[in-house]
Amino acid sequence: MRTDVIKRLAAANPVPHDGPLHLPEPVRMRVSARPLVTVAVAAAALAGGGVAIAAGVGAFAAPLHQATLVVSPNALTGPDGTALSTCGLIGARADKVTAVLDSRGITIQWRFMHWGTVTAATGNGSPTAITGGRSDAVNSVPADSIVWDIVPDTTTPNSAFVFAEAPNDPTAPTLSTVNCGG
Amino acid sequence: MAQRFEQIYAEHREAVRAYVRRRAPEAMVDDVVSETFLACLRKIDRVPSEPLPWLYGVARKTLANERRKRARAAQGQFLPVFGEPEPVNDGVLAAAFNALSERDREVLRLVAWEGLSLADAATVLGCSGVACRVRYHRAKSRLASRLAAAASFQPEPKEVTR
Repeated sequence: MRTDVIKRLAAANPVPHDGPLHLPEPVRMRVSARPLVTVAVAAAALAGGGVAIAAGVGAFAAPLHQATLVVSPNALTGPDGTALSTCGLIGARADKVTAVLDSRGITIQWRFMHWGTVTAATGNGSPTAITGGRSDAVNSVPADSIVWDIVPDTTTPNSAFVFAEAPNDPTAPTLSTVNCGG
Repeated sequence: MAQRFEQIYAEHREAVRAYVRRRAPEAMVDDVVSETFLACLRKIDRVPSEPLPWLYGVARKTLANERRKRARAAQGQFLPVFGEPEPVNDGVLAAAFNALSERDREVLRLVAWEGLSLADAATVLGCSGVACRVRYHRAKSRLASRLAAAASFQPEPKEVTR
């Protein structure tokens, strides 16, 4: 069972490994009667507490709850050397952002976000934040996608990573541009 | 010395890049990989004969520094921990995996995703081989327990206001 867990995790690798994996072999232990009895008793005791266990499981299996994403604005620089704040573009549709950045001569590198399914306390008095999720490099995104962050590409002049998400993604956090002063 | 660095870079660049991509968003990957190999160049006389676990360890610390920088930039406000890719094509596994501590997740990733032995994983984590073995088996048990529990529980969907 536990080795299966590692195999299952290996199969879910977001960046698949090149070549075969050599997973550690499980240590085989002699099973005596006493631990078996202990396990049986524990299982019987847990069966009565099924509701409480299920509620606890919900803490990690449930969808997001009130997670808020506060975006820090960035300044993009185009070929003309003028700076463009990303504040007005956060939360906008992808087609609008495309038009604005194209007009400034800024090349877009799209990243489409798949938000994680889990929230966790972050400290700083924040109730929740999102853990997990991934962004995929894509050539384009649907026009009605929502842009949630824009980051200048520091290695390529006049280029920016634009992060978008599906317009009605139920796992997406609430966007906040409070750092823009708005 | 420069020759050795070039050899290490050529042999391990893709592995280090894949390591970072499994833990950070694409926008961060190039920076972290560059900083990792910059540290390698600076400390080339201290790089062990089998450099990959050492490189992973440097990349791990570089990523941690990057996360701390982001936390400072957030100035005490909500900070999304969005940068960590989760297991793909298996939502139940992703939820159970993400519920583990970072310590547990990392040792499992090193074995299942990087394919490291526990001895090499210990080098990355900066702990003894015995400590790494214990950490690995406990993390695996916790993941198995969460998966077993999740299999019998279906949460109700709940919408988030955007």
